Amino acid sequence: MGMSVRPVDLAEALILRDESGALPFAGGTDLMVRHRAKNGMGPSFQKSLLFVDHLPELRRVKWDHGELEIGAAVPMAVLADDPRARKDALRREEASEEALSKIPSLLRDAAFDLGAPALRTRATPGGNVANASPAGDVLTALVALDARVILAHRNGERELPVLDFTLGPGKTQLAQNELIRAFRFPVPETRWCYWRKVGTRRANALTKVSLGAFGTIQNGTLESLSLAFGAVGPRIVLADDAAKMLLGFSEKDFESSDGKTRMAQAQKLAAQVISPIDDQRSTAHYRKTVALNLFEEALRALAKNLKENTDD
Amino acid sequence: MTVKLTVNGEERQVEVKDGTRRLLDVIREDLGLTGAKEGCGEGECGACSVLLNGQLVNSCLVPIAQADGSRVLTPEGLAQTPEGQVLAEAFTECHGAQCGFCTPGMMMASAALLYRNSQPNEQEIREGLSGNICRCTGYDMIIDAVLMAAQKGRGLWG
Amino acid sequence: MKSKNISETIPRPDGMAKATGRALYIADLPQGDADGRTQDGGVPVGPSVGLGTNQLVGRFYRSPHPRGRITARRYPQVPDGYTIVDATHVPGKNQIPMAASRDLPCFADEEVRYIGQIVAIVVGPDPQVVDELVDGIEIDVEARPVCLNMEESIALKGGAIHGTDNVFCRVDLDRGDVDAAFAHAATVAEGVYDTGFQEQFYMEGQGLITWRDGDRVGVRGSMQCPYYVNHAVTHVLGLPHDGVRVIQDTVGGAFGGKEDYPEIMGAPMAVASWVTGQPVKMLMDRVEDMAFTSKRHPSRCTYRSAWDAQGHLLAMDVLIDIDGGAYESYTKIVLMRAVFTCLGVYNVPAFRIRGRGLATNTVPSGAFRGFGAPQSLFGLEMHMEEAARTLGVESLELKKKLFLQKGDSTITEGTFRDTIILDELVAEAERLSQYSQKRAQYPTGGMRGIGMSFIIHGCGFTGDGEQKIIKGEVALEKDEAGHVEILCAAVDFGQGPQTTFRKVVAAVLGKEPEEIGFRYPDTDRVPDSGPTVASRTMMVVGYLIQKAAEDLRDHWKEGEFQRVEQKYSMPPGMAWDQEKLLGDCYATYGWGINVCEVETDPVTWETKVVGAWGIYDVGKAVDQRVVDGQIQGGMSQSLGYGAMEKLEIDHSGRFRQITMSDYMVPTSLDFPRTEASTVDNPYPYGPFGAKGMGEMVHDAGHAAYAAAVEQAVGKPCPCIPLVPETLLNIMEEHR
Repeated sequence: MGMSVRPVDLAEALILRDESGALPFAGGTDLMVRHRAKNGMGPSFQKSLLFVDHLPELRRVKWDHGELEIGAAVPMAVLADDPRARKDALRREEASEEALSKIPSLLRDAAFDLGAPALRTRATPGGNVANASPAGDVLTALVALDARVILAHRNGERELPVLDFTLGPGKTQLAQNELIRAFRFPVPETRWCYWRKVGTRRANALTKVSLGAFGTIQNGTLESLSLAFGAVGPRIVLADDAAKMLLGFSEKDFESSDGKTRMAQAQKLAAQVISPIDDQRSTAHYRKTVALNLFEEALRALAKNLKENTDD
Repeated sequence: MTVKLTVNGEERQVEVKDGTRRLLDVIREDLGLTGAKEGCGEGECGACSVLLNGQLVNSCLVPIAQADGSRVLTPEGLAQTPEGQVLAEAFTECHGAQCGFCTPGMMMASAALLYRNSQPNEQEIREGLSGNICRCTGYDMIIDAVLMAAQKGRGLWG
Repeated sequence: MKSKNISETIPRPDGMAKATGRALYIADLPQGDADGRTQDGGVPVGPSVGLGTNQLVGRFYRSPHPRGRITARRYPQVPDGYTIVDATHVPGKNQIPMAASRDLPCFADEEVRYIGQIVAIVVGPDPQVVDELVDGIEIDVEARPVCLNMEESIALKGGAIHGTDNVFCRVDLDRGDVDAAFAHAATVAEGVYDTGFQEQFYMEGQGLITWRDGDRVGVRGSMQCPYYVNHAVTHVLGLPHDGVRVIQDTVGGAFGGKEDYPEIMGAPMAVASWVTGQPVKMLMDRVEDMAFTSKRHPSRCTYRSAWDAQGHLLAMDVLIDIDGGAYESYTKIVLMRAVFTCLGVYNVPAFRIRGRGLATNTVPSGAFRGFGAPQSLFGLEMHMEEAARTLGVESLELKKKLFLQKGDSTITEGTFRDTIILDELVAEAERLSQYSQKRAQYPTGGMRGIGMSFIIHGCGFTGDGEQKIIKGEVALEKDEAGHVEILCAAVDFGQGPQTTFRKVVAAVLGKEPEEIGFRYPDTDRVPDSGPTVASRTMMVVGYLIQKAAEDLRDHWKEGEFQRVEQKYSMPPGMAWDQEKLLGDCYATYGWGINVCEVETDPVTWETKVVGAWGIYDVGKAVDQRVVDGQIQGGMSQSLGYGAMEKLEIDHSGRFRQITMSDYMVPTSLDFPRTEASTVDNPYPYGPFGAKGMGEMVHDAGHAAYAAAVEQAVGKPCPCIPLVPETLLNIMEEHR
């Protein structure tokens, strides 16, 4: 059993991390469960813990030249638009009204779908990504948003696409001397978001399958699209080939026979990259079928969006 | 290590061997405040809910080192406040408590909700309590109790 | 009582203590000092017995093998102060006595039949050391093939687990010439209906403390039936009945899950206290609790019904199989209720019913609210939907023609002697839910549907069980100052006797409910009024209490100590032959209707409940909110059973969903408000007319749900839980 340390700022945290290799610990909503012992015995950690939940550098939401930066330890409640959490963040000057207004609905909804109020006050995007569960809702949303993870170490920082950062359940590219500081992604003005989590129940649920989709629209046509499926493989699945089939789509393409052929091809391509498993929460068959149904639903929503020319 | 907490308005110091000890165990065992219950130990049921610096948390998921220097409100402390009294009376009158094991946690979640939204509608109450499992009531009478507490406690919730 | 109407609700006497965190559950009891406090804001606090500082922690060593003969046990070196206790230490009989069986051993001795079977208990002061000792134990088993489900049980996979045919028990009933009816039928409907395991999911896990006091042993904690625990410990330790003291502490939910398990857990703990002379405390870890305590029996019901050319019902041919798990325990009684309830609220002219309780290598199934009725009523009500489809009529019209009436024969050839008000209940259900209008309006397969199910629930123990087996007794004591105390063994685990019993006595004596004393039962203080099960508490025990209160009122002597007692006797006219299973299988019946309205999403095959209604004849509500709280809570559980609560077993018979994040009970967002309603129909032998109702609220919500989903998706849905994965499979099978 190790010690636990609570550094005052990021600089100290990085020194401690470098010197001890202690386990970074933010909200603890995953770690405390994974390391729980029997009743009345408390959790058991093999490593020392490095608490990072309170570090000011990890709690900021910044709007910077068309990009949103979200600190690794920003409580999910802030992302999920909880009025009290937002008020606290504003009062502590961790976020500005402008930055908060830029949080895309995809991320907000994914954060809201995570657990229940008490979990959202503790859980953080950094933890959700570090946990690297393919069922991680905010992880899925960040992948759909093409976010980069900013990894800090004593002598600087490096950036990686969030998806590349994750290697499989519980496994990431986080080096022994690094901490996740933040996530960054562009938020274009004309954007389209889709988020749907299919959970084990209506609240406080784990994800059986999910789809986060994010597109940009220019002059009524789809300029970019990313489709991120959750819980259909060991990592989040980005259906890029499927998305490419749909680039340049405008309202009429959803009705034309050529457009329909391309949509069917896109769905086939999506099907090829989805390979879910049976477990105690759902079946591979259900996950695959519903993932493709969600894909269809997302396209219907996209068609409607292009027709009505609304964003977000 | 020595942990300093302000528990229900009183300053307390607790010696712990290990900072990863759960806040729940410290308040139940070291401080003898057994209102918060252990239902699952994995943050799923909400029976261990307390307010940490005014925010609703599952105390089974909080290592005590993270609570160092914080304010903790437990069900016993809530009961001493006028708003806690109004809530407890509403739960009693509306039969929002049956077996009672989830009730202290429900009280904390209800208070957290009312502190941020003093006149919630039924849907907002259902969302606010969605992390607290009750197996007895089907929730309807708990919702009645929160509505009653919002009504009777008008002005108390800030 | 201020109000003349007993139904008018009062604040719960135990509410404030529970809401403020003052109520003490077994895990909350301080070591050393609880003496002197007997009542705290309406919630009783027991004496300090068993709370000494020499208390040990207990943990079970459970079999890691599902099936086989034990050939060797290897125990680790045990440090001073620690003890491993097993079958060799049992001074009395190594078996847990239950109402109709004694086949479950206290400690596995020669064989194991399921993963998790208790083999030994380790006790000692430091939980970590106790855990390490448990981890150091090994047993060798001559393994046999595991029999996982009823199909494998019938096929005798790996040879019989029980007897020669794996059948723990049979219950068969016959009336009329069924074969002739089917031979002459114009239409035959047929279906197979499956229900799964269900976890009680009481919020407070199992927890007990046992101790030794000279030649006596004590048990306290979370339980439904103090005298069941008393009998079990007496039997295992070979002590006289007054050699065991059992005390109930505040119980954080039970639902049947604390009917048998406190005996299964408490008896080995009591042996450990007997051997060591020290108190032993065990709080079951949530995962251990979910993995190894008793669940609801899975069932498979096969219904065939014969109808003539005019659509009249001629006969039903019914097969009911329930999965009892590795030991019989309560399976026979559950099966009896499943069979006795399987024709529901309908008058069936001829029938052949064959019921079997089967053995498998899974955790022994046990008691759960409804006790067999939710299983067979699901089969029946879904079959009535199927029959209506086959006949091309609306199911409610079909059902209405078959409604039982006063004077009709019961399924066991007894007589329905009390007024039956099904028509009034239907009218109330229609008024609240607009069932028929919606049913006609929603197109089949249009992703919206509404379903209705009917409930009958026999109140109290089956047949003459109350008279022959339970023999319930209660007492009231009045002290010199005029304070009256209720003495009985009924447990309040949330369902409300702390409220309702006080109201009954207060109403009779012209006092206020809060003036009436009612502590949690202590078998040293209270007579055996029977277990807190079988929808008997209010109707049977409450009636004895009312009679005792009337006796006290009529013989009230100011300034004197007085004690009055009441013993159960069968209501006049009731008769039962336990050998032939003929006569009045229950003293009377509760009746009810559930309506459920749903919307199914064809993208995810998730179904949203948009309306739920529960309408009941409970005789008379002795506190409307207590009754409505049962209706709403029962609806939530039964909808969970029907829609969400998937509990599967793996290849070795272990449950797969054993954490709160994997076993899905409803949250506040899963179902809408249940609109509750009762129609008065007072029963002459219940307190103020009250009948039993705590279980029937869980009997058929799942059937109303499944019927609604059938309309929404336009396909038969003959199995629960109807999770989206199952619904998807149904849609693809019938594409």
